[in-house]
Formats: sequence, structure tokens, C-alpha cells
Amino acid sequence: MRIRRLLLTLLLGTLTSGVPGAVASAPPHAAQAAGLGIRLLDAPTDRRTDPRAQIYIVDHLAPGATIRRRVQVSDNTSGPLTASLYVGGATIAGGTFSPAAKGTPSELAEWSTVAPASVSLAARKTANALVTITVPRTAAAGERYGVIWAELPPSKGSGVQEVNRVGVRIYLSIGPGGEPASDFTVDSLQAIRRADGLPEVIAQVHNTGGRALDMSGSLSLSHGPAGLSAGPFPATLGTTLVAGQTEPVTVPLSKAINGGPWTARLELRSGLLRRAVEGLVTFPDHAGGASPPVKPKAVPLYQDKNTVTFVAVTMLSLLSLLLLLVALREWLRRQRAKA
Amino acid sequence: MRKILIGGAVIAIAVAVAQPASAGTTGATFTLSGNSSGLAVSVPADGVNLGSAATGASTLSGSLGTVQVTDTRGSLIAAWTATVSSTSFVTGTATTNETVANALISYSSGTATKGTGQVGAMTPSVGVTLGAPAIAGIWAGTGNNTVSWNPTLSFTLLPSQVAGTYAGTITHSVA
Repeated sequence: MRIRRLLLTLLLGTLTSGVPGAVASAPPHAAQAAGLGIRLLDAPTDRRTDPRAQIYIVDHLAPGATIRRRVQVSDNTSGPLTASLYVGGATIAGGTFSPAAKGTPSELAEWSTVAPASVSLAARKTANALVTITVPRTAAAGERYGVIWAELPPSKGSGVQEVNRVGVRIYLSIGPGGEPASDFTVDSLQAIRRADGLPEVIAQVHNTGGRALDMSGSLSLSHGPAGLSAGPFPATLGTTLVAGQTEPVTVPLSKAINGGPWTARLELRSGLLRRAVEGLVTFPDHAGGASPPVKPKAVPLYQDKNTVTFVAVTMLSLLSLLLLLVALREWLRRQRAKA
Repeated sequence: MRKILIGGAVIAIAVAVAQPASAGTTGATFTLSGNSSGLAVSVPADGVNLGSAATGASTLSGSLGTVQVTDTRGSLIAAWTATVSSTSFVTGTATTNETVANALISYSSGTATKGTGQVGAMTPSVGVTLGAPAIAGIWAGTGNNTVSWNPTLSFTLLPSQVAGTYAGTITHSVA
């Protein structure tokens, strides 16, 4: 009996076309940017020192306001590229910035236009596009998240099509008056030892301000066994917190760190906002173990710019006051001498 | 005496001016310099073939092809998130048995390779289902980075899956 074998073929591809090497090749060239690139060209002057405002659109607008920002799209390949440009929505959930699928309704997408909506680039060329975001007068207060996308057309072939797109994030705060203040607290520090034996500190970070935060920072250990200190160890990045959310920020340490107890000093920041806390931690001996969380206390930052400015201003004020008093005394003395 | 008075007044004025400006002008922008291209994603290759299976098979897996992300923003805190989403894969007239729903498709990024000397790591994705957009990988590090990975797609097939060539679209979003 003839065995009928029906093949369930997923993806008919052209046999001769370059099926991308499934074998990992040499590490990619570090210096060149490949494919389709996008970057922000304009940033607000009053956020000049905020590192987040250099790579994302971060702004606060009153209802009825409009902002315009330019982006630059680049073709880093040796052939021509076409890209469609548009704004899509995004959400922040579980500590991650999650862009929405194309076509998902979003307020930010409705309020935005990108001109031109499509660019054709020759090899190694760039083109600028203008993104205009107009906030309606009836917009509710709060934050909106989105991405300015540069999207490649689908790959060719009669089977699997791939669409790659790359974008610049938008964190837009809407509300009358000034920007809501940003702030966060570290609710607890927990020392654990991972299944692979690496000690880790997990900090529960609570966004108590009015704007989303992208957390980064480092942890230092001091006053350890025999007076040892260690670190700083960088915190794992990628935690984005919406206002009101609490999410963990983890700091992996080194296997050379033994139990403790240690005084852990955690310094976290988002953009220009920085906070530091200290707590006593002891790491469990066995892999997979976790110590109970401890409540840390807030400590002042070293080289706090505000403190230095305040001290400098106070001292200058006192000095000028002293000089004026001396001048006044001189003048009175001369008045008395005349009389 | 006059010199002391002037000295005191000058310092008093300097103190008044030295106060940090409380509110900048909104709307004023400056241009970011630098000739980097920001964040870039590779152009996918044409004609990807995920393979084939006999009818009655319960799963099918294949490699999608390398995705490469190049970040030349030079940020102290360099981070980007790659998200992946998929349509359903259909053949013929897309009836129930001619469809593999996107919730039955799972994506694993596999280990990512980064350029030599680059600081950071990509958290990979393992077996995430594509019923809704999912995280393909999250990069965290410092400075420029070039990261590539070759993801594997796994399809869970129905016992009644109809034979044919199935087509669909996988979208990678990097921001």
C-alpha cells in the first residue's frame, strides 16, 4: 500500500535565496551600525543634562499644547531601503516598557503625525522626519507612552514574512501647570543566593512620584567581615516603573562575597533623580536560599549638588554681609569723627 | 571704605545671580550632535524557510534567521527592549484547521552574541508564546553594543492540521 505522505510545509522559500546562516558566525563588527537606524535630533533645553531626554522624548505638556521633534532615519546597509514612519502606543507593565502591536488604538498615536510618513534612503544616507504631537484640550492628566517607529517593509517570500522596526521611546506627561515631581522609595532590601550560587540583592522600588522612571544604579558593601568592603556592583537595568508601581531591581554580586553581615548602600537613579539607602544584609550560605527582607534607611548622597550649592551660597551671603557690616561701622566711625 | 562697600555689593549681586534658574523656557530645543545612527535593527533576509513536517506531527520548529540590533547611542545606561509579535499562520482559506493560531507559536531567542569588549548582556526569551506581543530580549549595559540572536519558532499543530504551505508575519520591534 502506497503510503501517502503529505508534507505539511511551513514556509515555502526560494531554495536558492540566501537563507540566513542559522549557524552563529563571528561576533558582529562592533563599530558599524547595521540595517535601519533611528535617532532623536531635538531635545528640550531645560532637560539638557538629563541622559534620558537625549535618547527618548521625555516631556510635560499642558492640554492643548503641541511639540515638534525631529528624528533622523539612516540606512546603514550597502543598498537602498524604504521605511515607513509612524507613532505607536506602548505600556509599562511588570517593570518593562512594552510597545503595542501596530494598529493597536492609542491616544498618543492619534495625537501624533510624522512627516514624511515614508522615506526612501540610498545606501549610507540619512533623512530627517518631523514628529508633531498635539495634545487635545480635553486630554486627561497622566502619562502616555509610545514609540516613534521606523519600519521596514516585510521580507519577501511566499512563506514567513519578517518585519523589523526600530524606534525612539516617548514618555509624555500631560497636565496643566508644572511637571509632576518625580520620586521613589526603596521599600526593602533582600539578600539572596541564586540557584547558581551567585549572591544577589533585590530591592523593591516604589515609584512615589508622578512620572515613569527608568531605574539604574549600583550597590556597595562595607563594614563586612574583618572590615571588608566590596563593590560597587551595577544594578540590572531594564526596570521601568509607572507612577505608583513597585517593582524589583536586582543587583548581582560576586561569588567571592561571603555571608556577612554587610552594610549595603544602594544608590539608584532615573535621569537626574538620585536616591541612596542603606541596610544591613546577610547572604544565605546555600544556593537557592533567601534572607528575610530588611527595611533600609535613606541616607544623603555624597557630592549632592544641591547641598554644595546651598553651602556655597550661604557662605557667600555671610561674607557679603560681613563686608557690609564692616563698611557700615567704618562709615559710622567717620560720621562720629566729623561731629 | 568705598572699596569695601563695593566689594560687599558685588558679592551680594553674585549671590543673587548664582541661584539656580527655577524654570526653563518650555518649547526651546537644542539639536543633539553626534554622528551616531542611534538604535538600528538589521534588514531581515528574504525567503525564510522554517522547514516541513508530515501531517499528524504535533510540533514543528525552525530558525527564523539572525536579528541584529546595533546601539550607537553611547549611553552610560544603555538599555533597549526587543519585542516580538506574530500573526496566525494560515494556508488555503484560513479555516480553523488551516490555521495555526499565534497563541500556539512559541519563540525562543537563544543565546545572544555581542561584539568583543562590549559591556552588558541580553536577557534571552525562552519559549514565550506569541498570542500577544512578547519580550524577545532585553539588553542592559553601558556604551555602544551590537547584539545578534537567531530565534527559534515552535509551532504546536492540531491533530486535524491540514496540509499546505502556511504563511504568516513575525514582527520584531526594538525600542
